[in-house]
Amino acid sequence: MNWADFFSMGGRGLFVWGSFGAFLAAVTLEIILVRLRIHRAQAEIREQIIVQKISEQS
Amino acid sequence: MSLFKYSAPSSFYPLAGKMVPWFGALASLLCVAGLYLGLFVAPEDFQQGEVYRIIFIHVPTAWMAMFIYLVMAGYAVLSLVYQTRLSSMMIEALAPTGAIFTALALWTGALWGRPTWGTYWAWDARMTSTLILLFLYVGYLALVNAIEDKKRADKAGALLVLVGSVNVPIIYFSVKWWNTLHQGASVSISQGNKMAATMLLAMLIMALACWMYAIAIALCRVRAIILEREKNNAWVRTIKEANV
Amino acid sequence: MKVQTPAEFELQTPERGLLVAAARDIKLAMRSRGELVQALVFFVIVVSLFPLAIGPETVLLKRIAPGVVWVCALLAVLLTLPRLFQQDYLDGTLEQLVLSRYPLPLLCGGKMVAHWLTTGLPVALVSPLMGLQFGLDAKELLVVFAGLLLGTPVLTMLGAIGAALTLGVRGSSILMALLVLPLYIPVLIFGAGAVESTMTGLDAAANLSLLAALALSGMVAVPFAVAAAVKISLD
Repeated sequence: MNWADFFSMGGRGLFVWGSFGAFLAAVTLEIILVRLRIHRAQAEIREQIIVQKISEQS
Repeated sequence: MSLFKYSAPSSFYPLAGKMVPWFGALASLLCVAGLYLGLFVAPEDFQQGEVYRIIFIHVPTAWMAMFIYLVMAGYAVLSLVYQTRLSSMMIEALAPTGAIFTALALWTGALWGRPTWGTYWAWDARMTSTLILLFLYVGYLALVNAIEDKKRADKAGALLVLVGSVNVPIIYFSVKWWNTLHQGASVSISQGNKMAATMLLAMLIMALACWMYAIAIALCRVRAIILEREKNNAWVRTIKEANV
Repeated sequence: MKVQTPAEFELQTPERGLLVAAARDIKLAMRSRGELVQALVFFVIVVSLFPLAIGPETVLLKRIAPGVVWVCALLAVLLTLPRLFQQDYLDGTLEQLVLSRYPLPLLCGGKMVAHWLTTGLPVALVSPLMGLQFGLDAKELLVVFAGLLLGTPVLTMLGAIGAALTLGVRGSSILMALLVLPLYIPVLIFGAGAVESTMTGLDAAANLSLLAALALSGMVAVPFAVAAAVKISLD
Protein backbone atom coordinates (compact mmCIF):
# COMPACT_ATOMS: atom_id res chain seq x y z
CA MET A 1 0.00 0.00 0.00
CA ASN A 2 1.26 3.43 -0.98
CA TRP A 3 0.90 6.08 1.73
CA ALA A 4 0.93 9.00 -0.67
CA ASP A 5 -2.00 7.45 -2.52
CA PHE A 6 -3.72 6.84 0.77
CA PHE A 7 -3.45 10.45 1.86
CA SER A 8 -4.41 11.88 -1.52
CA MET A 9 -7.66 9.83 -1.50
CA GLY A 10 -7.91 9.93 -5.25
CA GLY A 11 -7.22 13.66 -5.32
CA ARG A 12 -9.99 14.41 -2.81
CA GLY A 13 -7.80 14.23 0.29
CA LEU A 14 -8.80 17.68 1.49
CA PHE A 15 -12.46 16.69 1.64
CA VAL A 16 -11.94 13.30 3.23
CA TRP A 17 -9.36 14.44 5.79
CA GLY A 18 -11.30 17.63 6.41
CA SER A 19 -14.20 15.45 7.53
CA PHE A 20 -12.25 12.90 9.57
CA GLY A 21 -10.06 15.64 11.03
CA ALA A 22 -13.03 17.77 12.06
CA PHE A 23 -14.61 14.75 13.71
CA LEU A 24 -11.49 13.86 15.69
CA ALA A 25 -10.82 17.49 16.57
CA ALA A 26 -14.37 18.06 17.81
CA VAL A 27 -14.39 14.88 19.86
CA THR A 28 -10.96 15.59 21.36
CA LEU A 29 -11.92 19.15 22.21
CA GLU A 30 -15.15 18.01 23.82
CA ILE A 31 -13.34 15.42 25.92
CA ILE A 32 -10.78 18.00 27.10
CA LEU A 33 -13.48 20.55 27.97
CA VAL A 34 -15.62 18.06 29.87
CA ARG A 35 -12.61 16.77 31.80
CA LEU A 36 -11.63 20.32 32.68
CA ARG A 37 -15.17 20.98 33.84
CA ILE A 38 -15.37 17.97 36.12
CA HIS A 39 -11.87 18.54 37.49
CA ARG A 40 -12.80 22.13 38.28
CA ALA A 41 -15.94 20.97 40.08
CA GLN A 42 -13.99 18.39 42.07
CA ALA A 43 -11.29 20.92 42.94
CA GLU A 44 -13.91 23.32 44.22
CA ILE A 45 -15.24 20.66 46.57
CA ARG A 46 -11.72 19.83 47.81
CA GLU A 47 -11.22 23.53 48.46
CA GLN A 48 -14.47 23.65 50.42
CA ILE A 49 -13.30 20.77 52.61
CA ILE A 50 -9.94 22.43 53.26
CA VAL A 51 -11.56 25.74 54.16
CA GLN A 52 -13.88 23.93 56.52
CA LYS A 53 -11.03 22.05 58.18
CA ILE A 54 -9.06 25.25 58.70
CA SER A 55 -12.04 27.04 60.17
CA GLU A 56 -12.63 24.11 62.52
CA GLN A 57 -9.03 24.21 63.75
CA SER A 58 -8.95 27.89 64.47
CA MET B 1 -37.74 0.30 42.71
CA SER B 2 -34.04 -0.33 42.49
CA LEU B 3 -33.83 1.76 39.34
CA PHE B 4 -35.34 4.74 41.10
CA LYS B 5 -32.61 4.55 43.68
CA TYR B 6 -30.13 5.62 41.04
CA SER B 7 -32.23 8.61 40.03
CA ALA B 8 -30.87 10.37 43.10
CA PRO B 9 -27.84 12.42 42.05
CA SER B 10 -25.88 11.25 45.10
CA SER B 11 -26.07 7.59 44.09
CA PHE B 12 -25.85 8.22 40.36
CA TYR B 13 -22.59 10.16 40.64
CA PRO B 14 -20.40 7.17 41.68
CA LEU B 15 -22.33 4.82 39.38
CA ALA B 16 -21.69 7.07 36.38
CA GLY B 17 -18.06 7.31 37.45
CA LYS B 18 -17.78 3.54 37.17
CA MET B 19 -19.54 3.42 33.80
CA VAL B 20 -17.59 6.16 32.03
CA PRO B 21 -14.30 4.21 31.55
CA TRP B 22 -16.15 1.20 30.14
CA PHE B 23 -18.13 3.14 27.61
CA GLY B 24 -15.09 5.25 26.80
CA ALA B 25 -12.96 2.17 26.17
CA LEU B 26 -15.69 0.58 24.09
CA ALA B 27 -16.03 3.79 22.07
CA SER B 28 -12.31 4.04 21.33
CA LEU B 29 -12.03 0.34 20.41
CA LEU B 30 -14.99 0.57 18.07
CA CYS B 31 -13.71 3.82 16.63
CA VAL B 32 -10.30 2.30 15.84
CA ALA B 33 -11.92 -0.79 14.34
CA GLY B 34 -14.40 1.29 12.34
CA LEU B 35 -11.75 3.66 11.02
CA TYR B 36 -9.50 0.74 10.09
CA LEU B 37 -12.30 -1.02 8.25
CA GLY B 38 -13.48 2.19 6.64
CA LEU B 39 -10.12 3.57 5.56
CA PHE B 40 -8.07 0.45 4.80
CA VAL B 41 -10.34 -2.53 4.21
CA ALA B 42 -13.46 -1.16 2.53
CA PRO B 43 -12.99 -0.99 -1.26
CA GLU B 44 -13.17 2.13 -3.35
CA ASP B 45 -16.67 3.02 -4.50
CA PHE B 46 -16.90 2.56 -8.26
CA GLN B 47 -19.08 5.64 -8.71
CA GLN B 48 -17.81 8.13 -6.16
CA GLY B 49 -14.21 7.03 -5.77
CA GLU B 50 -12.39 7.45 -2.47
CA VAL B 51 -14.39 10.45 -1.33
CA TYR B 52 -17.35 8.27 -0.36
CA ARG B 53 -15.40 7.37 2.80
CA ILE B 54 -16.75 10.57 4.34
CA ILE B 55 -20.02 8.72 4.91
CA PHE B 56 -18.29 6.69 7.63
CA ILE B 57 -18.32 9.90 9.64
CA HIS B 58 -21.27 11.64 8.08
CA VAL B 59 -23.97 8.99 8.45
CA PRO B 60 -23.16 8.07 12.09
CA THR B 61 -23.05 11.73 13.17
CA ALA B 62 -26.32 12.46 11.38
CA TRP B 63 -27.96 9.49 13.07
CA MET B 64 -26.66 10.54 16.45
CA ALA B 65 -27.83 14.12 15.88
CA MET B 66 -31.42 12.91 15.59
CA PHE B 67 -31.12 10.10 18.12
CA ILE B 68 -29.76 12.32 20.88
CA TYR B 69 -32.64 14.75 20.46
CA LEU B 70 -35.02 11.81 20.76
CA VAL B 71 -33.31 10.66 23.96
CA MET B 72 -33.49 14.22 25.29
CA ALA B 73 -37.22 14.22 24.59
CA GLY B 74 -37.55 10.95 26.53
CA TYR B 75 -35.75 12.49 29.50
CA ALA B 76 -37.94 15.58 29.14
CA VAL B 77 -41.04 13.44 29.63
CA LEU B 78 -39.44 11.78 32.67
CA SER B 79 -38.43 15.15 34.03
CA LEU B 80 -41.88 16.71 33.67
CA VAL B 81 -43.89 13.67 34.77
CA TYR B 82 -41.75 12.29 37.61
CA GLN B 83 -40.01 15.56 38.50
CA THR B 84 -36.66 13.80 38.72
CA ARG B 85 -33.78 16.24 38.80
CA LEU B 86 -31.44 13.73 37.23
CA SER B 87 -33.48 13.60 34.01
CA SER B 88 -33.09 17.33 33.53
CA MET B 89 -29.39 17.06 34.23
CA MET B 90 -29.15 14.33 31.59
CA ILE B 91 -30.87 16.59 29.04
CA GLU B 92 -28.39 19.31 29.85
CA ALA B 93 -25.50 16.84 29.58
CA LEU B 94 -26.65 15.45 26.23
CA ALA B 95 -27.46 18.72 24.49
CA PRO B 96 -23.90 19.96 23.78
CA THR B 97 -22.93 16.55 22.40
CA GLY B 98 -26.04 16.52 20.22
CA ALA B 99 -25.23 19.98 18.94
CA ILE B 100 -21.66 18.95 18.14
CA PHE B 101 -22.83 15.86 16.25
CA THR B 102 -25.33 17.97 14.32
CA ALA B 103 -22.66 20.47 13.38
CA LEU B 104 -20.34 17.63 12.33
CA ALA B 105 -23.08 16.07 10.23
CA LEU B 106 -23.57 19.38 8.42
CA TRP B 107 -19.85 19.98 7.99
CA THR B 108 -19.10 16.48 6.66
CA GLY B 109 -22.22 16.64 4.50
CA ALA B 110 -20.92 19.80 2.90
CA LEU B 111 -17.49 18.28 2.31
CA TRP B 112 -19.07 15.19 0.83
CA GLY B 113 -21.48 17.18 -1.30
CA ARG B 114 -18.85 19.35 -2.96
CA PRO B 115 -17.01 16.54 -4.84
CA THR B 116 -20.14 14.42 -5.27
CA TRP B 117 -22.84 16.92 -6.23
CA GLY B 118 -20.58 19.84 -7.07
CA THR B 119 -21.94 22.03 -4.27
CA TYR B 120 -21.21 22.47 -0.58
CA TRP B 121 -24.77 23.20 0.32
CA ALA B 122 -28.04 22.25 -1.33
CA TRP B 123 -31.41 23.07 0.15
CA ASP B 124 -32.12 19.38 0.29
CA ALA B 125 -34.81 18.21 2.71
CA ARG B 126 -32.42 16.26 4.90
CA MET B 127 -29.76 18.96 5.08
CA THR B 128 -32.31 21.67 5.76
CA SER B 129 -33.96 19.76 8.57
CA THR B 130 -30.57 18.96 10.08
CA LEU B 131 -29.80 22.67 10.05
CA ILE B 132 -33.10 23.36 11.81
CA LEU B 133 -32.25 20.64 14.32
CA LEU B 134 -29.04 22.51 15.06
CA PHE B 135 -31.13 25.65 15.70
CA LEU B 136 -33.28 23.66 18.13
CA TYR B 137 -30.19 22.49 20.03
CA VAL B 138 -28.81 26.02 20.12
CA GLY B 139 -32.16 27.36 21.32
CA TYR B 140 -32.26 24.86 24.16
CA LEU B 141 -28.69 25.65 25.23
CA ALA B 142 -29.37 29.39 25.07
CA LEU B 143 -32.51 29.08 27.19
CA VAL B 144 -30.95 26.88 29.85
CA ASN B 145 -27.89 29.10 30.12
CA ALA B 146 -29.92 32.30 30.30
CA ILE B 147 -32.08 31.24 33.24
CA GLU B 148 -30.18 31.63 36.47
CA ASP B 149 -32.51 29.67 38.74
CA LYS B 150 -31.44 26.09 38.00
CA LYS B 151 -34.75 24.54 38.99
CA ARG B 152 -36.60 26.76 36.58
CA ALA B 153 -33.98 26.22 33.87
CA ASP B 154 -34.45 22.46 34.20
CA LYS B 155 -38.20 22.56 33.76
CA ALA B 156 -38.19 25.23 31.06
CA GLY B 157 -35.57 23.31 29.12
CA ALA B 158 -37.51 20.06 29.41
CA LEU B 159 -40.69 21.73 28.18
CA LEU B 160 -38.84 23.33 25.26
CA VAL B 161 -37.31 20.01 24.24
CA LEU B 162 -40.73 18.39 24.39
CA VAL B 163 -42.31 21.10 22.24
CA GLY B 164 -39.37 20.85 19.86
CA SER B 165 -39.64 17.09 19.55
CA VAL B 166 -43.34 17.37 18.66
CA ASN B 167 -42.31 19.86 15.99
CA VAL B 168 -39.43 17.87 14.52
CA PRO B 169 -41.65 15.55 12.41
CA ILE B 170 -43.75 18.53 11.28
CA ILE B 171 -40.60 20.42 10.34
CA TYR B 172 -39.20 17.43 8.47
CA PHE B 173 -42.47 16.90 6.60
CA SER B 174 -42.83 20.58 5.74
CA VAL B 175 -39.25 20.83 4.49
CA LYS B 176 -39.74 17.73 2.36
CA TRP B 177 -42.96 19.18 0.98
CA TRP B 178 -41.22 22.46 0.26
CA ASN B 179 -38.42 20.55 -1.44
CA THR B 180 -40.76 18.75 -3.83
CA LEU B 181 -42.45 22.05 -4.67
CA HIS B 182 -39.07 23.50 -5.68
CA GLN B 183 -37.69 20.72 -7.82
CA GLY B 184 -34.36 22.47 -8.41
CA ALA B 185 -32.48 21.53 -5.28
CA SER B 186 -33.45 17.88 -4.99
CA VAL B 187 -30.55 15.47 -5.02
CA SER B 188 -30.57 11.72 -5.17
CA ILE B 189 -28.37 9.90 -2.75
CA SER B 190 -27.51 6.58 -4.36
CA GLN B 191 -26.20 4.65 -1.43
CA GLY B 192 -27.50 1.67 0.47
CA ASN B 193 -28.69 -0.32 -2.49
CA LYS B 194 -25.30 -1.14 -3.93
CA MET B 195 -23.22 -0.75 -0.82
CA ALA B 196 -20.62 -3.44 -0.25
CA ALA B 197 -20.92 -5.46 2.95
CA THR B 198 -17.65 -4.14 4.40
CA MET B 199 -18.79 -0.56 3.80
CA LEU B 200 -22.01 -1.20 5.65
CA LEU B 201 -20.16 -2.94 8.46
CA ALA B 202 -17.68 -0.08 8.82
CA MET B 203 -20.52 2.41 8.92
CA LEU B 204 -22.42 0.44 11.56
CA ILE B 205 -19.30 0.08 13.71
CA MET B 206 -18.66 3.80 13.48
CA ALA B 207 -22.28 4.47 14.42
CA LEU B 208 -21.89 2.20 17.42
CA ALA B 209 -18.66 3.98 18.35
CA CYS B 210 -20.41 7.35 18.21
CA TRP B 211 -23.22 5.96 20.34
CA MET B 212 -20.85 4.68 23.01
CA TYR B 213 -18.91 7.94 22.89
CA ALA B 214 -22.11 9.93 23.39
CA ILE B 215 -23.00 7.83 26.44
CA ALA B 216 -19.52 8.17 27.92
CA ILE B 217 -19.23 11.91 27.40
CA ALA B 218 -22.79 12.58 28.60
CA LEU B 219 -22.20 10.56 31.76
CA CYS B 220 -18.97 12.43 32.34
CA ARG B 221 -20.67 15.78 31.83
CA VAL B 222 -23.60 14.85 34.03
CA ARG B 223 -21.14 14.08 36.82
CA ALA B 224 -19.74 17.58 36.49
CA ILE B 225 -23.25 19.02 36.48
CA ILE B 226 -24.18 17.02 39.58
CA LEU B 227 -21.16 18.34 41.47
CA GLU B 228 -21.80 21.91 40.37
CA ARG B 229 -25.40 21.76 41.48
CA GLU B 230 -24.95 19.83 44.68
CA LYS B 231 -21.77 21.43 45.95
CA ASN B 232 -23.50 22.70 49.06
CA ASN B 233 -24.93 19.31 50.03
CA ALA B 234 -23.13 17.20 52.58
CA TRP B 235 -22.79 14.07 50.45
CA VAL B 236 -20.42 15.66 47.93
CA ARG B 237 -17.77 15.83 50.70
CA THR B 238 -17.74 12.04 50.76
CA ILE B 239 -16.97 11.38 47.08
CA LYS B 240 -13.68 9.64 46.53
CA GLU B 241 -12.28 12.49 44.42
CA ALA B 242 -12.67 14.78 47.44
CA ASN B 243 -10.00 12.97 49.48
CA VAL B 244 -7.14 15.42 49.69
CA MET C 1 -63.76 51.57 30.41
CA LYS C 2 -63.41 49.22 33.31
CA VAL C 3 -60.76 46.56 33.58
CA GLN C 4 -61.74 43.64 35.74
CA THR C 5 -59.58 42.88 38.71
CA PRO C 6 -58.55 39.28 39.39
CA ALA C 7 -60.89 39.19 42.39
CA GLU C 8 -63.87 39.76 40.14
CA PHE C 9 -62.88 36.82 37.94
CA GLU C 10 -63.70 34.44 40.73
CA LEU C 11 -67.37 35.22 40.57
CA GLN C 12 -67.92 33.68 37.15
CA THR C 13 -68.12 30.12 35.84
CA PRO C 14 -64.86 28.37 34.87
CA GLU C 15 -65.62 28.05 31.16
CA ARG C 16 -65.81 31.81 30.87
CA GLY C 17 -62.14 32.10 31.70
CA LEU C 18 -61.29 32.23 28.02
CA LEU C 19 -63.65 35.13 27.36
CA VAL C 20 -62.73 37.00 30.50
CA ALA C 21 -58.99 36.82 29.83
CA ALA C 22 -59.48 37.74 26.17
CA ALA C 23 -61.78 40.66 26.99
CA ARG C 24 -59.39 41.99 29.59
CA ASP C 25 -56.38 41.89 27.29
CA ILE C 26 -58.29 43.47 24.43
CA LYS C 27 -59.44 46.27 26.71
CA LEU C 28 -55.87 46.84 27.85
CA ALA C 29 -54.66 46.83 24.26
CA MET C 30 -57.32 49.34 23.24
CA ARG C 31 -56.11 51.71 25.93
CA SER C 32 -52.69 52.02 24.33
CA ARG C 33 -53.61 52.41 20.69
CA GLY C 34 -50.07 53.38 19.79
CA GLU C 35 -48.86 49.98 20.80
CA LEU C 36 -51.73 48.40 18.96
CA VAL C 37 -50.73 49.74 15.55
CA GLN C 38 -47.00 49.23 16.04
CA ALA C 39 -46.96 45.68 14.68
CA LEU C 40 -49.07 46.74 11.74
CA VAL C 41 -46.88 49.72 10.91
CA PHE C 42 -43.77 47.58 11.26
CA PHE C 43 -45.22 45.05 8.83
CA VAL C 44 -46.16 47.70 6.27
CA ILE C 45 -42.82 49.48 6.44
CA VAL C 46 -40.64 46.39 6.26
CA VAL C 47 -42.61 44.94 3.34
CA SER C 48 -42.21 48.24 1.54
CA LEU C 49 -38.46 48.20 2.10
CA PHE C 50 -37.95 45.21 -0.16
CA PRO C 51 -38.81 46.88 -3.48
CA LEU C 52 -36.53 49.74 -2.46
CA ALA C 53 -33.69 47.36 -1.71
CA ILE C 54 -34.13 45.11 -4.72
CA GLY C 55 -35.41 47.47 -7.40
CA PRO C 56 -38.74 47.93 -9.07
CA GLU C 57 -38.62 44.98 -11.49
CA THR C 58 -42.13 43.61 -11.53
CA VAL C 59 -41.23 40.01 -12.38
CA LEU C 60 -38.67 39.69 -9.63
CA LEU C 61 -40.89 41.42 -7.06
CA LYS C 62 -43.77 39.14 -7.85
CA ARG C 63 -41.47 36.15 -7.51
CA ILE C 64 -40.34 37.11 -4.00
CA ALA C 65 -43.69 38.50 -2.80
CA PRO C 66 -44.94 35.39 -0.94
CA GLY C 67 -41.69 35.00 0.95
CA VAL C 68 -41.40 38.68 1.80
CA VAL C 69 -44.97 39.03 3.04
CA TRP C 70 -44.70 35.89 5.16
CA VAL C 71 -41.31 36.64 6.69
CA CYS C 72 -42.47 40.15 7.56
CA ALA C 73 -45.71 38.89 9.10
CA LEU C 74 -43.69 36.41 11.12
CA LEU C 75 -41.35 39.14 12.40
CA ALA C 76 -44.26 41.46 13.17
CA VAL C 77 -45.88 38.80 15.34
CA LEU C 78 -42.52 37.97 16.94
CA LEU C 79 -41.99 41.60 17.93
CA THR C 80 -45.31 41.79 19.76
CA LEU C 81 -44.91 38.54 21.71
CA PRO C 82 -43.55 40.22 24.87
CA ARG C 83 -46.95 41.97 25.13
CA LEU C 84 -48.60 38.62 25.88
CA PHE C 85 -47.26 38.12 29.39
CA GLN C 86 -44.55 40.69 30.12
CA GLN C 87 -46.68 43.43 31.70
CA ASP C 88 -48.80 40.96 33.67
CA TYR C 89 -45.65 39.27 34.88
CA LEU C 90 -44.09 42.50 36.08
CA ASP C 91 -47.15 43.84 37.92
CA GLY C 92 -48.05 40.50 39.48
CA THR C 93 -51.31 39.98 37.58
CA LEU C 94 -49.98 36.76 36.12
CA GLU C 95 -49.61 35.28 39.57
CA GLN C 96 -53.19 36.23 40.32
CA LEU C 97 -54.28 34.53 37.12
CA VAL C 98 -52.51 31.33 38.12
CA LEU C 99 -54.23 31.43 41.52
CA SER C 100 -57.67 32.29 40.14
CA ARG C 101 -60.42 29.73 39.96
CA TYR C 102 -60.40 29.67 36.18
CA PRO C 103 -58.31 26.91 34.60
CA LEU C 104 -54.98 28.40 33.58
CA PRO C 105 -54.98 26.84 30.07
CA LEU C 106 -58.25 28.64 29.33
CA LEU C 107 -56.92 31.94 30.60
CA CYS C 108 -53.78 31.51 28.48
CA GLY C 109 -56.03 30.64 25.55
CA GLY C 110 -57.92 33.85 26.11
CA LYS C 111 -54.74 35.86 26.17
CA MET C 112 -53.66 34.24 22.90
CA VAL C 113 -57.02 35.03 21.30
CA ALA C 114 -56.62 38.65 22.33
CA HIS C 115 -53.07 38.74 21.01
CA TRP C 116 -54.13 37.31 17.68
CA LEU C 117 -57.04 39.73 17.36
CA THR C 118 -54.70 42.67 17.95
CA THR C 119 -51.72 41.55 15.82
CA GLY C 120 -52.28 38.59 13.50
CA LEU C 121 -55.70 39.68 12.32
CA PRO C 122 -54.71 43.29 11.45
CA VAL C 123 -51.62 42.01 9.64
CA ALA C 124 -53.74 39.54 7.67
CA LEU C 125 -56.28 42.25 6.86
CA VAL C 126 -53.69 44.65 5.49
CA SER C 127 -51.69 41.96 3.64
CA PRO C 128 -53.71 42.13 0.36
CA LEU C 129 -52.79 45.82 0.14
CA MET C 130 -49.13 44.96 0.55
CA GLY C 131 -49.50 42.21 -2.04
CA LEU C 132 -50.76 44.81 -4.49
CA GLN C 133 -47.41 46.60 -4.19
CA PHE C 134 -45.79 43.46 -5.51
CA GLY C 135 -48.17 43.05 -8.43
CA LEU C 136 -50.11 40.03 -7.20
CA ASP C 137 -53.48 39.46 -8.85
CA ALA C 138 -56.84 39.04 -7.12
CA LYS C 139 -56.69 35.29 -6.65
CA GLU C 140 -53.17 35.40 -5.23
CA LEU C 141 -54.15 38.22 -2.88
CA LEU C 142 -56.98 36.12 -1.59
CA VAL C 143 -54.60 33.22 -0.91
CA VAL C 144 -52.18 35.56 0.91
CA PHE C 145 -55.05 36.75 3.06
CA ALA C 146 -56.45 33.26 3.71
CA GLY C 147 -53.00 31.88 4.49
CA LEU C 148 -52.23 34.61 7.00
CA LEU C 149 -55.67 34.24 8.54
CA LEU C 150 -54.96 30.55 9.18
CA GLY C 151 -51.24 30.87 9.87
CA THR C 152 -50.98 33.82 12.25
CA PRO C 153 -52.87 32.00 15.05
CA VAL C 154 -50.18 29.32 14.90
CA LEU C 155 -47.52 32.03 15.09
CA THR C 156 -49.21 33.47 18.17
CA MET C 157 -49.56 30.06 19.81
CA LEU C 158 -45.98 28.87 19.27
CA GLY C 159 -44.78 32.33 20.23
CA ALA C 160 -46.76 32.22 23.46
CA ILE C 161 -44.78 29.16 24.56
CA GLY C 162 -41.52 31.00 23.93
CA ALA C 163 -42.80 34.18 25.59
CA ALA C 164 -43.90 32.28 28.69
CA LEU C 165 -40.64 30.35 28.98
CA THR C 166 -38.45 33.45 28.75
CA LEU C 167 -40.42 35.60 31.21
CA GLY C 168 -38.12 37.73 33.31
CA VAL C 169 -34.96 36.32 31.75
CA ARG C 170 -32.18 38.73 30.82
CA GLY C 171 -32.07 39.44 27.07
CA SER C 172 -35.38 37.68 26.73
CA SER C 173 -36.42 39.16 23.38
CA ILE C 174 -33.44 37.79 21.44
CA LEU C 175 -33.68 34.52 23.31
CA MET C 176 -37.35 34.26 22.44
CA ALA C 177 -36.59 34.78 18.76
CA LEU C 178 -34.00 32.02 18.97
CA LEU C 179 -36.49 29.61 20.51
CA VAL C 180 -39.48 30.48 18.41
CA LEU C 181 -38.16 31.06 14.90
CA PRO C 182 -37.14 27.43 14.20
CA LEU C 183 -40.62 26.35 15.27
CA TYR C 184 -42.14 28.88 12.84
CA ILE C 185 -40.56 27.23 9.82
CA PRO C 186 -43.44 24.87 8.89
CA VAL C 187 -45.92 27.77 9.00
CA LEU C 188 -43.64 29.83 6.78
CA ILE C 189 -43.26 26.98 4.30
CA PHE C 190 -46.95 26.19 4.04
CA GLY C 191 -47.99 29.84 4.00
CA ALA C 192 -45.55 31.00 1.34
CA GLY C 193 -46.07 27.70 -0.47
CA ALA C 194 -49.79 28.34 -0.77
CA VAL C 195 -49.20 31.64 -2.55
CA GLU C 196 -46.49 30.20 -4.75
CA SER C 197 -48.56 27.24 -5.86
CA THR C 198 -51.32 29.65 -6.86
CA MET C 199 -48.80 31.66 -8.85
CA THR C 200 -47.65 28.55 -10.71
CA GLY C 201 -51.24 27.61 -11.50
CA LEU C 202 -51.62 24.89 -8.89
CA ASP C 203 -54.24 24.62 -6.21
CA ALA C 204 -53.47 26.28 -2.88
CA ALA C 205 -55.91 24.05 -1.02
CA ALA C 206 -53.31 21.51 0.13
CA ASN C 207 -51.07 24.11 1.75
CA LEU C 208 -54.01 25.96 3.25
CA SER C 209 -55.47 22.81 4.75
CA LEU C 210 -52.10 21.98 6.28
CA LEU C 211 -52.06 25.43 7.86
CA ALA C 212 -55.59 24.85 9.14
CA ALA C 213 -54.52 21.47 10.54
CA LEU C 214 -51.62 23.12 12.37
CA ALA C 215 -53.95 25.79 13.74
CA LEU C 216 -56.54 23.29 14.94
CA SER C 217 -54.09 20.89 16.56
CA GLY C 218 -52.35 23.88 18.13
CA MET C 219 -55.60 25.06 19.68
CA VAL C 220 -56.01 21.70 21.38
CA ALA C 221 -52.49 21.26 22.70
CA VAL C 222 -50.80 24.65 23.00
CA PRO C 223 -52.86 26.20 25.85
CA PHE C 224 -51.71 23.39 28.12
CA ALA C 225 -48.08 23.86 27.13
CA VAL C 226 -48.35 27.62 27.68
CA ALA C 227 -49.99 27.10 31.06
CA ALA C 228 -47.18 24.73 32.05
CA ALA C 229 -44.60 27.25 30.86
CA VAL C 230 -46.23 30.07 32.83
CA LYS C 231 -46.22 27.94 35.98
CA ILE C 232 -42.56 27.03 35.44
CA SER C 233 -41.62 30.68 35.05
CA LEU C 234 -43.51 31.79 38.16
CA ASP C 235 -42.17 29.12 40.53
